[in-house]
Amino acid sequence: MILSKFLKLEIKNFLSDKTVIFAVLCLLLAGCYAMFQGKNVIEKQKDIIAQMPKFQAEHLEKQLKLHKDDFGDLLYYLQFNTINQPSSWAAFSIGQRDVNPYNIKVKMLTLEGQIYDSEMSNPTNLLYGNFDLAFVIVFLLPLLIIAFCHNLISAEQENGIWNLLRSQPVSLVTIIGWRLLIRFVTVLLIVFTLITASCFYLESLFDIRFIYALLIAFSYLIFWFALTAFIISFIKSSTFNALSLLGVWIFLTILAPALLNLVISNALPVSESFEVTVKQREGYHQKWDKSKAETMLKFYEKYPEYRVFTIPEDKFSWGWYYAMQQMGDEESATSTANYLEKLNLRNSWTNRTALFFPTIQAQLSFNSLAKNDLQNHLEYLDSVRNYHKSIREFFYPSIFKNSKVEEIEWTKIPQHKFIGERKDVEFPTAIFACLAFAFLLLAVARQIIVVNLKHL
Amino acid sequence: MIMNFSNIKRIAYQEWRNAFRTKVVYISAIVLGIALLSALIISWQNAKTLNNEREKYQDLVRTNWLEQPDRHPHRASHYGYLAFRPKSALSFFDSGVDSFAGTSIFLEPHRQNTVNFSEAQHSNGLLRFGELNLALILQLLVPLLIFFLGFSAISGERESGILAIILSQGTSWRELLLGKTIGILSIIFALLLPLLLISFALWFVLNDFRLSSDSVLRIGVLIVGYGFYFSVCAAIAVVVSSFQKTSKSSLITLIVIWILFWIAMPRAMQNLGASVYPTVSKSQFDKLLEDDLAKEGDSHNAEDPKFIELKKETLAKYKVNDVKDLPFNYGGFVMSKAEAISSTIFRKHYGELLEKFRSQNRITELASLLNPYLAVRNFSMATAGSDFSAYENFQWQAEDFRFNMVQKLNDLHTNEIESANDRTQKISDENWEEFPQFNYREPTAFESLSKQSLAIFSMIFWLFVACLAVWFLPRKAETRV
Repeated sequence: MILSKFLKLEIKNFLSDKTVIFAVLCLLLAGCYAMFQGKNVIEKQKDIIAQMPKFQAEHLEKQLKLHKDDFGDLLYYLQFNTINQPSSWAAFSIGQRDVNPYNIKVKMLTLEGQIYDSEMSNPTNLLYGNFDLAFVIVFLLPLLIIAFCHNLISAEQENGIWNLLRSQPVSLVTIIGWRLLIRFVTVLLIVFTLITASCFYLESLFDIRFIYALLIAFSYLIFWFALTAFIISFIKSSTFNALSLLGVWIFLTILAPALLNLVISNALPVSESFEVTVKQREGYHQKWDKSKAETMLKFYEKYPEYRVFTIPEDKFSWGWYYAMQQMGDEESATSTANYLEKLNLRNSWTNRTALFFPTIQAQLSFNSLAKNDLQNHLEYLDSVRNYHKSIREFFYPSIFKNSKVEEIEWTKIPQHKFIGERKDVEFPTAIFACLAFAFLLLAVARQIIVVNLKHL
Repeated sequence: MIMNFSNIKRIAYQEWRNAFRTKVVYISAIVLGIALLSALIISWQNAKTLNNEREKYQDLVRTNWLEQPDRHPHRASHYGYLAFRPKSALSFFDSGVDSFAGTSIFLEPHRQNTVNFSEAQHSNGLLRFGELNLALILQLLVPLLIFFLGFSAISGERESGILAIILSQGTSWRELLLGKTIGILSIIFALLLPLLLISFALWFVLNDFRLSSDSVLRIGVLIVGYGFYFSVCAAIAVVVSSFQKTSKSSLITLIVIWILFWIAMPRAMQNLGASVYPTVSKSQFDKLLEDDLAKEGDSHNAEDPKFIELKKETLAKYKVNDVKDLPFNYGGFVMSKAEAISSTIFRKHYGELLEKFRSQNRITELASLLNPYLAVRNFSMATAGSDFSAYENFQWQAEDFRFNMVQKLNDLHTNEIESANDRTQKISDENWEEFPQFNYREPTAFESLSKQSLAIFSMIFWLFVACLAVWFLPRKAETRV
């Protein structure tokens, strides 16, 4: 009875506070801008992707006209298009999508010399980062929580209402608990509204990812509430609370990730990228100075079926030419494997250490949910490798047979397929670490506050 | 009104003494010291590792180039060259766009490649939280420390009722504000100046005692610039404090300002720039080049009207009937003409693209007139030689190098290779050392800064605004006390 009366009063007090309304409005505004920005970035990519079939058709038509007499020469110029389609959740957390190319074009030439071509982007845009919903949730929402809760206990103390409350039959710990809960529910409602709104505005599919996004956001926010409860349980001044919470926020969102990044990049430098570039170039170009038979022998190891075709030693032939190109890839294969392994290593170290930092954890989970993480890019590169292989293998017979351009069935060229939109999104297990931290903090906070209240 | 400097001095000294009475200043000195020095060592080491790698491969590329056997010049042209972008000497201080820009570019004939392998591509999103270096700490965290030192400067006196007493005892409002600002600044400078000097000295030692006059100049400019920045922050703290009834609300206001201007606004502004000035993607850019090239004719197509005309002209000039009778290799000659055309087209379009990027950045640069953090950020990366214009500079140097290399090889093709049986001939490997090495020339401090006049202007503008604010700020009616 008293409790419900108290609750009503508390809720009324909280919601009629002008600063609370102001802060909530600011946050919702930031959320709207974030959705607008996220949509902008992804829509631009989608527009470009939509133009690709037309580009590709025009390109093929033009090149067929220009090089109609020489099939081998035509293949030198022909580009084949691959696309990493943004998932329907891409605009929610842009992650690494603006850093990595999403539209790689490959020719029949050495793949390792083309696959790392970057997108033409303004590095300053990448430096500042995207104002997307993930940013609002990971960076700004904790600040809202801090603003709501830093004066939860101390404000009363400072205003002298504490003693009045102590005479009430409801225990102080319960009061504090309820107060936290009111603020918690408010923040959860905001987050729920933002994520639901994003589903409509960003046209994200309402599937398991919606639940996962909520789970990640909720557990992340629970962590921040627990942390706030922990700090305020020392019953210091609200200034002290605000400053120490801000300190933790700075540590978790700025210093720790930056430090971790430097440590990981120092420990695992990716010099293999240069090695691949140099090796593929040497691998291919050296073949021009060697006997054709030597190159072909190596080529036949992979493709013995072409042994039957003769490669003249004294003059140029396209079969030999494309075999040389292939040697660039063969001879840099170890470096490529090392390069990819290094990236995977970096990735797994990042994920492992992220368990200790809820901020990094939440951001990486959102990126992974939106399929905009390094993992997704590596999978895309993999699909480009397979596609390049299928293109090569599609044209090899015609090259070795010295076919004419008009003998090729151009409609049967293999098409690149890569499904960014995967339904089998992994359960964000990282949230357990977040929740574990939260429960630990809450348990400790409860003990501390009970002790501190006795001394009051 | 006559200023009484002894009053200002007294107030500043009081502020200083009060601060050093509390533990807070000592703790922040230690924390700042540890943060700055560890940031310095780690980021310096990182920059060194990256630069060593790039240097190693730049040397390897050179060696491989020299070790080429006798080759046809056009073959050597396609073998090409790789250019690596070194990090600037001061990138350990402020890495700017360094980690988000590519590091290596393949230089070959007929086409211009992208600069590939940025550090950001090799990181799984961690880099997007920010990069740890001295600039991050000075730009983002020191202002908070200043706000913390200054939030109660006036409001504290007001709360305790001392304000009225101070002002009635012959100290003017202006003297009080000035004294408080100077007091806070002196604490910050006393903490930071030794730390910064130690940092730069340590860097000097780590760098094997090598120091160019250009770096010294850049460091000098940086120290002055950050001095401006901290003064502005101190003024903000004092001004906000003078408006607020209680120190608590003063602190909250300052924190809100920090969140809005230091955390939210930078991203929002740069994103706005990107959406106001949309740019072409790689595929669209390639198509632009392809379409323009088609207009200029196809050098590989003997029946192309543009090139038939060139042939006619050349034959007429040398009064021969067939290209075989020309005193040089016509194939090489055409290649060289075509390269000039394609390079001009590329330069035009790439220039336009970079101009668009600059327009995008200009939104943030203009916003630095509203936000001192953006002002110092632009100023700092320009001075450290790690801003967008430094990256742009690298790309043009690489393109110049590519063009000269290819044209030199085309000349060799034109003059040293007989027209008959062109493809089977080779030139001696002695030719390779005639080609220069790719040496990236870092822009001088003056060049870097001249490209960022708006950033420098906004730094001065902010200092001016801060001075005006402290000088002319009206005294708030004390009726509310």
